[in-house]
Amino acid sequence: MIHKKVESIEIGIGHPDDSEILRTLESICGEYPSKYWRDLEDAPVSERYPAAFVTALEHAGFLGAGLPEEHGGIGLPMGALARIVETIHEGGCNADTISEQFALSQLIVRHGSEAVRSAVLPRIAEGAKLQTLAIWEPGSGQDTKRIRTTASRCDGGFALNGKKRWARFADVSDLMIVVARMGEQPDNLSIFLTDLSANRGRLSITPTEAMNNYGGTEIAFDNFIIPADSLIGEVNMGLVCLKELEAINGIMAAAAASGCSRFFSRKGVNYAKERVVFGNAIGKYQGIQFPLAQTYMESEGAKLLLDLAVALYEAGRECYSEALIARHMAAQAAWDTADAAFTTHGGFAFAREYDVERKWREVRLMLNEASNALPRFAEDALGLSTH
Amino acid sequence: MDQSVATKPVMFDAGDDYPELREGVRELCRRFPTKYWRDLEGQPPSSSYPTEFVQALTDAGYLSALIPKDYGGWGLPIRGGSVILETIHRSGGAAGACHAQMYTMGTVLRHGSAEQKSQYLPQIAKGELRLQAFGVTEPTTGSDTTQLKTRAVRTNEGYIVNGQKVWISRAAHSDLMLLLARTTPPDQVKRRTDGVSVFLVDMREAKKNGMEIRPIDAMVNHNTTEIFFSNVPIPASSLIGEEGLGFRYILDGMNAERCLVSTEAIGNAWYFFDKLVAYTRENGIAGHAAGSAGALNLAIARLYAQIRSADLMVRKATAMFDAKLPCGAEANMGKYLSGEAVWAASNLCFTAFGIDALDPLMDVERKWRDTRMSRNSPVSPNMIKNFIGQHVLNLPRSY
Repeated sequence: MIHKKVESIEIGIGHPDDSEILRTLESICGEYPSKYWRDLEDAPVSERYPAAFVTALEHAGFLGAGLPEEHGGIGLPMGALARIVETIHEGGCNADTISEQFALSQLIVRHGSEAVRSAVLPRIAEGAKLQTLAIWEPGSGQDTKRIRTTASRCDGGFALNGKKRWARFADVSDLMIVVARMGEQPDNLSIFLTDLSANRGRLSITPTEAMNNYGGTEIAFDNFIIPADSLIGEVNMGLVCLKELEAINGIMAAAAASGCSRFFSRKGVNYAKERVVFGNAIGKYQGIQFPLAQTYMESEGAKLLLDLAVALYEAGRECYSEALIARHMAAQAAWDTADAAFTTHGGFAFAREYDVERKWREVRLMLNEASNALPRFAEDALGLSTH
Repeated sequence: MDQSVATKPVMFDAGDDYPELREGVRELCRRFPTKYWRDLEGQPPSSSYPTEFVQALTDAGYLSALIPKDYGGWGLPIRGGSVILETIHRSGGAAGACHAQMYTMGTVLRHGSAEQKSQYLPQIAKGELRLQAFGVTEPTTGSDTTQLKTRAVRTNEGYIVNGQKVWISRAAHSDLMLLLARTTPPDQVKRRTDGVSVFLVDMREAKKNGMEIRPIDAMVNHNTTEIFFSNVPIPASSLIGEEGLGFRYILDGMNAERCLVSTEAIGNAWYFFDKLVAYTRENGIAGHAAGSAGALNLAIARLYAQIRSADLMVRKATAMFDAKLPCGAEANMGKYLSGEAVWAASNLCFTAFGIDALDPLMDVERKWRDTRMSRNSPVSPNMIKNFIGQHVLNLPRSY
């Protein structure tokens, strides 16, 4: 019999301390209604970045919210960052820009050298965008072993060569994290912080057309030279950083999914109350009501896994497993909630004006982005291989 | 939207809380290996009660863990009882034979008079009296409890009870029963929930005076019975709280019951999870019916996530109950999520074991049957969805 001990950790229900932050956010979200996000999707591919929304967040101080106060940030704990991301999605907006910023900033805070931290963190606190992670490649899938972009030492630092795909917001972001190979062993990966704003003309960055306003770009590195102090952490110790980033991204993704669950739960329930067919509000019919109730319960359950991962993170404890399963369960619950709301809306679910289909597409992608979470958890925590 | 799930700050532990309790119960359970439980099933219903196991739990004090110290118990919150039940189930045992004492006792404790408490609770704590029977369900009511037809009619000496109860587990192995009966006819009350009362019935006396217990032969060994009342006199002193308010008292106890039985489901889910992990590690590749190792292992990982998520909801509900906060939504969600999780766990285990799943010696099929039952009882997944739809999402009543 297996009695693997689960260490004690206390979870608090309810966070009244954040109410002011959340009110500010809700008011910002109110200024960027669904039409704003729909219009972005109709813009040319190079103009789809939600610049006005991000500027509003920046003016309210949210972009540097997770940075320590000594570097000009607000020093908010992980739970507050997660609730910011959750609240933005709950309000029908999209938080991918700011959640990338939160996650990648944590990487610098935790692994940047003192020189990098004092040079870069105040910049971020003042509004510089660190929203691009260049990791995946045309042939890599989500497998770090297949990353082929190389970094080699040269005069003046490192030379990057290779091609990245789905690197988000690289055409807008000021700073970028690049993952590159510095040796033949599968794990020989290193992490670099690169200044994009100073190198706009020297890099080939092409936005990718996609089903969603994902902000993905292709980046070609052709002997692109970056200074020696760009290295984050140690040479070929990138996987350590990436594992941490995976945990933080798991928390951010679970928070985004949780916000989407609430968005769709509200949308589905409101429509089910208003829409009258066969003489009743359709919410009276169990065929409509039960999926809304079921997905609500699943989402609330997944949310508790998120709370658990956050509690562990804030206590400075290992949260990798919990972040992975929170991400999986929250994405699944969000998708089930989104699809229940989609069904509830009948034909109107397809009408862009009802603002169901946009976020429904967003949530569907969350499942794909989370597809590695369970296999990684199975191998890392349970010792079970999934291939 | 008024999603009235409480957001007051409450803290709860997400890890292995009450470690000494867990170790103590595990130690006790080792004396009752799976063979003990299998052999019981081979007995006729009248002798299939795990008497020795229940006695051992009673002797060790576990069954009176929730009784306040003033009355001779340990004074643990509901969560303490949950940990005991979870550990029994994870160890392969079954607490269904004795768990009711934990929540029925609460009704006496919260709503009983000082005399009733000092008369019964110390004896229950010592193990001299068994309060294991909870007489609510009737043949024609199903989940619609307020339709109950059992009547308790007031007389000079007390009440006369007539009617029939069904699915009353453990009645043949209990001295006392908490009985729900109508004291005012439904056409004389404003709401159907009024006019129903709770009685603490001494079954030893009632059996001599017209109460008959008949065992039901069922798929699972819960020693369940039907009970017939034919002009059974009970004393006025057996009324708990005020006449006519019984439904409210029972509802309160139902949240405690949901927290406790949900944790049993969590314990069963871990039982299957442990079995699955051990099985896949021993066999290298997956069992006959499960397909590739990757598919099974991924399903096991998903199962782990589902169990943890459900477990957290049950803990949250329990923490809120123990903090005396309204927890109807959380208790129902915990019951639903734990029921789905344990069913996913038992079914995956059943699948992974292939044809061996049928072999009683594998200890899969017995608990699989048990698990399926626990999804329907004490509240069905559909009724929970109705509750959430109506009372949390504020959708129209569907039935």
